[in-house]
Amino acid sequence: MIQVKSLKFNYPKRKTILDNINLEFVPGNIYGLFGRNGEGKSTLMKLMCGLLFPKTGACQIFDQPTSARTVKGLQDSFIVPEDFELSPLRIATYAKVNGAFYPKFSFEQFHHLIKEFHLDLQDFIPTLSFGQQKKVLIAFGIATNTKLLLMDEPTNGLDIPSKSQFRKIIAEAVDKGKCIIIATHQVRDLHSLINHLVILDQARVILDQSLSAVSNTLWFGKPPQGISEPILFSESSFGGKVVLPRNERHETEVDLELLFNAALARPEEINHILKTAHHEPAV
Amino acid sequence: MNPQFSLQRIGRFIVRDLILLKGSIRTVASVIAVLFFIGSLIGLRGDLRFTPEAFVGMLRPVYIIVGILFTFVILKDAHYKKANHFYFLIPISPLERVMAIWGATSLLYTVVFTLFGVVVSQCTIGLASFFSSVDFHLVHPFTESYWSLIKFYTFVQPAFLLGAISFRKNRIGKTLFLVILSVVGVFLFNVILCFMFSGGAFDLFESDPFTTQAFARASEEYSGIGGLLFGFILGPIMLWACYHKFIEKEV
Repeated sequence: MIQVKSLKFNYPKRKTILDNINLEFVPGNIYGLFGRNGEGKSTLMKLMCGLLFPKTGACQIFDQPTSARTVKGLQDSFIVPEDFELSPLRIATYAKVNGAFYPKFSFEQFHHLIKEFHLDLQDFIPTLSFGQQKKVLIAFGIATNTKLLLMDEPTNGLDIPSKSQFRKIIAEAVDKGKCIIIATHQVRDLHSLINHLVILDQARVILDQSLSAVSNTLWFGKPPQGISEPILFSESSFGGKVVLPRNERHETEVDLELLFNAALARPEEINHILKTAHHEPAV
Repeated sequence: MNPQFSLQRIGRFIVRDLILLKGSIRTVASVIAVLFFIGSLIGLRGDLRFTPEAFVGMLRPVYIIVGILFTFVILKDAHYKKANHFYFLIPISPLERVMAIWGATSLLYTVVFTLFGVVVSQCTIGLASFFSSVDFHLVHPFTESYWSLIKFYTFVQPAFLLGAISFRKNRIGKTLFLVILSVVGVFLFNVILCFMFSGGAFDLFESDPFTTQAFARASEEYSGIGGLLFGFILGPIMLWACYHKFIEKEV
C-alpha cells in the first residue's frame, strides 16, 4: 500500500531529520510509529500523505508518488494531524461538506462514532474542547473509509476513558483492506492495539517488526531466578522488568514501553536477535 | 468520473468554500447593502433617475476591493498551519482547485455581486418612489463601462490569486506592491521603446518635444499592449502559475 524507499528529508537549513528510510506498510495492520520527540514521526506522516516531498528517495501510495497528490490517492488516504483547527461549523455540516469528497464516506458510521464519543451532530465545533474536536476528526477519518488512515498523536488531548474508547473504535475499524498508522510517543496508549511497530531514532528506523515476531522472539517480565543468559535490557523503573531472548520460555505479552526503551538503548542487539530468529511477515 | 477533472468536485469545492465563509459573507453583504443603498440614493439626486453610469460608479470601488479581499480570504486555510493539512489533502486535483477558486472569486462573485447591486438599487428606487417624487424605473447595469469594469477585474484578479497562494505573510501588501511594480515596469519599458523610436532622445527633464511625444505614445501604446497583456496573456498565465504553485505546495 505505502512504500518508503531510501527516503531522505530535511527542513530548509536544518539537519537531516529522516535518513535512508525504507518501510513498507500493508493493509490489514495497525502500525505503531514510535520515537522520541522531534525524531521525525510527524514529518514521516506528512511525507506519507503528500504534505511534504522527499529530498531524495521515494514515498509511494498505490505505486504513485505521494507528492503527486492524485485524486485517487487522496480519496484513499486520510490524516488526523496532531495539531489542527476545524472549521467553525456544526459537526453535521462539517461532515456534509467535507465527506462529499470521499466516495466511501459513511454518514451513518460517522453519526454512530460521534454518539459513541458522547457528542452531538448539532454541536458547534468551535465551542468544543480540543479533545472533543480530536474525537470529531477521528470519527470523520474513520468514516471516510479510506484504505490508509494516518494518525499523529491521536491520544493527545484525550482523557483516560476516551483513550480506551479510542482503542476500541480503532480495533473495530480495521479490516483486511485497511492500513492504520499511528504515530505517538505515548507508547502505552497503543497497548493491545497495534500489531506492527516501527521505531525511529536519530533519523533512522531502528526497529521494524510485527508484534507476533517480537513476542515469538523476546520475553518480557521480572527476571526469573538463576538465569544464565545475558539480559538484553533491564530498567529498574519498570519494577525490575527485563527483556530476554524468549528461547523455551512461555510467550509473554509484549511490553511496548519496555521494548521501546530497549530498542533505543540497544538497537543492534534487539535487531540481531529478532532477525536471526524466525519471524512472521506482516499479515 | 474523470480521476483528475470533474465539474462535480469543482462544484463541491466551491460550495465548501462558501459554507466555510458563510459568516464573513453575511457580514460583508450587510455592509455592502448599506453602501449600495446610500450610493443609490445619491445616484437618484438631480434628475431623479439612477443611470447605468451611476450604477457602475457605485459598483466599481466596492466590486474590486471586495473581490480582491475575497480572493485572499478564500485561500486563508492554505497558509494556516493548523488547517492546511486538511486543505491540501481534500481529494481534488490542482486543476480543479484552481478552477474552483477562480470560478468562485471571479465568475460567481461577479454574477452575485452584480445581481446584489441591481436588487439593492432596485429596492432603493422602489422605496424612493414611495416616499418622494422619484418615478419607479429599472436599473440597467449592462453598459460598456460595466463590461470594461468586469474585463479589468477578470484579467487582473488572477494576479492577486497568485499572490494569495504564493505569499505566506503580508499577502495583500506584497501582491499589491508587485502588481504596481509590474505596471510601472511595463510603462517604463514602453517609455524607453518610444524614446528609442523617437530618435533616441532620453532628456526627460528638458522641454524636448520628443519627451512629450514619447510619454504620449507610451500611454497610448501601453493601453494597447496592456490590453493585450491583460486580456489574453496575463490572466491565463497567472492561473497557470497558480496551478503549478498548488502542485508544488508543501505545508
